Formats: sequence, C-alpha cells, structure tokens
Amino acid sequence: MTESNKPILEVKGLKTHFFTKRGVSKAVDGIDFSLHKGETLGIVGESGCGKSITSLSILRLIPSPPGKIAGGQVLFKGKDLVTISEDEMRRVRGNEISMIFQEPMTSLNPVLPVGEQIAEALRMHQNMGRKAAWERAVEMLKLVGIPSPEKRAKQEPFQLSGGMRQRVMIAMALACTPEVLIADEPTTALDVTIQAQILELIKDLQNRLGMGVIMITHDLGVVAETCDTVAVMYAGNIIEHAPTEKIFANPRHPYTQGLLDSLPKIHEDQEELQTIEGSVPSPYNMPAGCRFASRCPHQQPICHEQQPELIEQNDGVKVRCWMYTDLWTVKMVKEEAVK
Amino acid sequence: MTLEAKTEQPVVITQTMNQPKESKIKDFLSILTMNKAAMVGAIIILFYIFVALFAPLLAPYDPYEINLENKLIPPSTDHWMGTDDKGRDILSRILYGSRLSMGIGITAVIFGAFFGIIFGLIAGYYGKWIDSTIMRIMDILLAFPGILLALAIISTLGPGLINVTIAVGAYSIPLFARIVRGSTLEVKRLEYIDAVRSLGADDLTIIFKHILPNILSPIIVQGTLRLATVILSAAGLSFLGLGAQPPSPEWGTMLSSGRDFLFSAPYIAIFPGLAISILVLGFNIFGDGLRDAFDPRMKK
Repeated sequence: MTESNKPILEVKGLKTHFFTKRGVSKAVDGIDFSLHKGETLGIVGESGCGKSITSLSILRLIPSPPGKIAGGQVLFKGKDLVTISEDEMRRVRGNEISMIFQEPMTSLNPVLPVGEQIAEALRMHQNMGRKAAWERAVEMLKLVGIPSPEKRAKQEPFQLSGGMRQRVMIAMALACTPEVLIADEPTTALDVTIQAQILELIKDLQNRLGMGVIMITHDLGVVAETCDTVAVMYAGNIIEHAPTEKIFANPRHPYTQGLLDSLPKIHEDQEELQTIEGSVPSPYNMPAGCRFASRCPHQQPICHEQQPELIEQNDGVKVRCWMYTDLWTVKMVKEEAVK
Repeated sequence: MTLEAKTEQPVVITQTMNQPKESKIKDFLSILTMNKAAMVGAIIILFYIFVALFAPLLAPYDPYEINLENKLIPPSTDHWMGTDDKGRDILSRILYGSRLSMGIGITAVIFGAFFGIIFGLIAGYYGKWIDSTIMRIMDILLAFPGILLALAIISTLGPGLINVTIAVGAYSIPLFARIVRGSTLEVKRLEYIDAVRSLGADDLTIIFKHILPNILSPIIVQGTLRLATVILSAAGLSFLGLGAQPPSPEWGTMLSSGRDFLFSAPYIAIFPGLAISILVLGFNIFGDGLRDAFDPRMKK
C-alpha cells in the first residue's frame, strides 16, 4: 500500500457503552471505517443511532461516567487515540482533529469575543503570541467569508447571525489546519439558504487544506451533495458502507432502501410519504439477531437468531444483511414471493 | 449587516446563561432602576462608601480623643450625636467606624467567595467523589449556626479584628460553594464547553475562562447579600468582645460600651445601632433587587 493510499484515520471495532442504572446502553457497538486525506465520509442515520457518539468517541469527549469506550481502536497517524494519555489527546483535539457542532447558537462562549475564541485554539496549540494569534483569527474569519473580519472579531456571539456563528465555529475548528474535520450536523440548525453556503464553504476549505472530513448527518440531501462514501448507521452498527453514488443508485440494506424511499420524490405523484414501520430497539435491550429484523419487510427466522456481519460485496459495497449471504437460500426468496 | 444581527437576537430564549452580554447589561440596569427599593439600597451603600472613603475630612473631631470634661453630652449642635462616657464625639467615631465595618465586611466576603468559588468550581466540574467530598465538608460547615461557627473559630484563633474577619468569612465559604457548584453543573453541560474541549482546552482554561465568567451573576447577588450578614455578624462578635477591641470605633464595640448607659444616655448605643441597621438594610434590599434583575423570569 502506498503512503497516499493509507487512511489517516482508522476506526476499528469501536464500542462506546453507557453504564447507567437501567443497564448498559450500547450506543456504539463495534463500528469500523477509515478516512483518507481529502475524502468526505458521511455517517447517516436517524436520531439515537450512535452517529454523534461515534464522533465524540473519536475525540474522547464522551461524558464519563456514564459513558466509556468499551473496546476497539481509533488509529490516527499510528497512534491509538483510545489509549494515549489525556495530555496527548489534548494536543490532538483542535490541532489535528477538529469538530464542528450542530448548534451554532450554543456552541460559542456567550461572553467572549469570537476572535478571542478562535485565537485561543492557536495560542494553545501553535504557541502563538497574543497578537499573532489575534491576527491569524481575523485571517480565519476572512477565510470563512465573514465580511469586515476585524470588526467582527471583536464582537460577541449574540451580535452574529446563526450562519455567521457557524462560520465562526468553522474558523475555530480550522484555525490550526487539522487533518481531520468532524462536522456533526453542521447545517441542521441553519436556514436552507445558509445550509448550502456552509456546505460549500466546508468543501472549499477541504480542497484547499486537503483534510479528511467526517460529515455526520441525518439529511440524505447533504450526503448526496458532499460525501464520497457513506456509512449508514442503525442502532449502534454500521449496516451499509459504500460509495455515495452506489448507495443512491442501488441501496442494498432494507433499512437504507427504506430511508431512500421515505424521501419525497420529485418525479412521482405521491399521495403520502413512505415510512419505515416500527421503531428502533431499545439500546438497553438489543435483539440477538439483526437489529432491524423486526421492522424489515424481508425478515426470516435467521434474522432474529443471529446478527449478520458487515460483508463486502463484489463491487466493494459493504452490507450487514442476511439477504446478501449464502445462507439466504433460493427457497427463502420463493417463500417470500408467495407471501 | 447590522440589521441582520438585530433580527437574529430573539432566537436565544431558552438559555438563561447564554443571554447576550450587552443587552443583558442594558436589561439588567433597566430592571434594577425600575426597582425603587434596590435604588434606595444602592444609594445607601454609595453613601456609606463615600463616608468611609472621606471619614477624615467629614469627621468634626478626633474619634480617639478622650475628653472627660465633655463626657455624656446629649446630641447638640456641637456634637450632633452626642459624646460617649469618655467624652469622644460619637459622630466622628461612627464615621471612622464605617471604614472598619465595611472593611471587615468586604474582606470577609472576598475571603469566603474566593474559597467558595474554587471549591464550588472543582466540585461542580469534576463531580464524582471529589464533588461528594467537598460538598459533604461544606454541609458540615453549614450545619452549624453561623455565629456558633464563628465563635468556635475565634476561640481557636483568639479575639481580634482579623480573626473575626476570617471567622465570618469562613462561614460564607459553603454558601458560595453551593451556588457556584450548582451553576457550574448547569453551564458545563452546555454545548460550548464541549466545543472548547474539542479544541483541546485543558481543565483550568475551561473552568476559569469559560465557566466562571458565565456564572458571575449568582455570585454577585450572593456576595451582596452576604455582605449584609457578614457585617452584622462581625458587629455582633465585636459586641460580645471577640472582635475589634476598645477604643476602636467599631460599631459593635461602640454598641457594647453604650450598654451600661442605655437608660441615662441611650444615644451612645442608638447611633451605632442605626448605622449598622441602615447599612445592612441597604445591602439586603440592593441584593434582592440584583437578584430580581438577574433572574430571567422577571423579564417581560
């Protein structure tokens, strides 16, 4: 494998569990993915499927107790972020791996000028002096497209609009030119018109800085627009992992199919939007078999007995479903056809 | 652009701690000035501060000068508040005494707030056993009636002005610790703390740069209200002979020495008593006004 082909971030069998009085909640239960330089990976799934917990686990920001990384590795440039010391981890955060949060309204300190908040990261990681850091902060504000950055830098968050705050967040995250950017629903809280601008900005900065981006979202539109590969999460697992165009053209997993079906379609005359029947199993009480089985239109006895593995298909698409294994016999398919 | 910033403002309604700063100050001042009682309190406090600062210029006589020929003169044009049993001018003594009372009060509250804030921040931020340990110790301190705790401390340290300050200040520590811990718990859950941590900030930066400035309002309210209690307790301890010692013009001490002449020359005790009561009243109503002004529920 050549150097350029080597992923910068590799997540292997990551498990994040929450130990509460009600029992153990397996919010993230053994996920694998890798991210290359310049690549954008989308992590999609509905609320509570573990996508945000995954991103927080990478930076080791899980509230503990009750949360704990119960297993697996997060390999970043040869270091396992799960095991390094807190001091080392602090040097990674914001410097080599950064994160943008969902809610620009609450993700900035309300009593500090925004320039100061950007400069803080620079002073922490790059040993910059107060003045140099401030100048760089103003530059960053300019880079993220904030007009009259010298003036804006001195303002406090409440004086900025939501879109501008998200730009400030991006400036903060990118101030130290990290190699990986985790964007946790970066556009969910924004107006549709602003959403496109922010996505465009992230893409543009990614091209300039050559970083890998993990885009966490529940919005398939965002995925289609920005991501190279997509990992679909369901109840703490990745159930399908494929290049974006393949997922949209030919979704394999019944859950992914359901997700795409539930999007309104512009060319079809639809009376009602499709939904996926049933609900996500409780994280405290996961079924032994496939976690989607009880909602799956193709369910078979084996689906309830044993959990399928994430298996790579011939065309590189990885899917966690019995339908794509040898065990799924012709007989089963026939039975289904009869039904 | 300025228009845009304005229209965006009302979006932040749900958070109490995330109030915009400048509009917060404006809101706060307008509510405070609407509150008549708080304004009276503020005027009283400012008056006392003025008196304390300019006591040497305002006092007509030397507060320590004993003049037995002039003893026990009732209030008159020469001596507005009369003279005490040693012929000292009571007005001058009260004016100078304001320095002592305010000094003790402010020092004790700063002392209590300093340790209370640190304990509260550590307990609230780190949680777990650190929190339980610190807060149980604070509970033990709180279990004593304030004056009793102060008495216990003074009986160990010995009487005197500085020891009284430490004693009444120490009793304020748990009160500050509780309030700070509660607010810290609230603020540390907010998303911007996660955001700051995701940038690689260490605990000290998070605690002192990002949490403390956002929990100042309850601390200021508590501090103002504590000033009243602390001044009263310090005067009480001096009255009992445990604080400032005669001939110091501390109001509690003056009150104590007026005790023997309560029937023949009541003014010796009445004026220091009034001085204490009015100051305590001032701090109390101002503190209440501050609390209302900081309370988001009071905003219309």
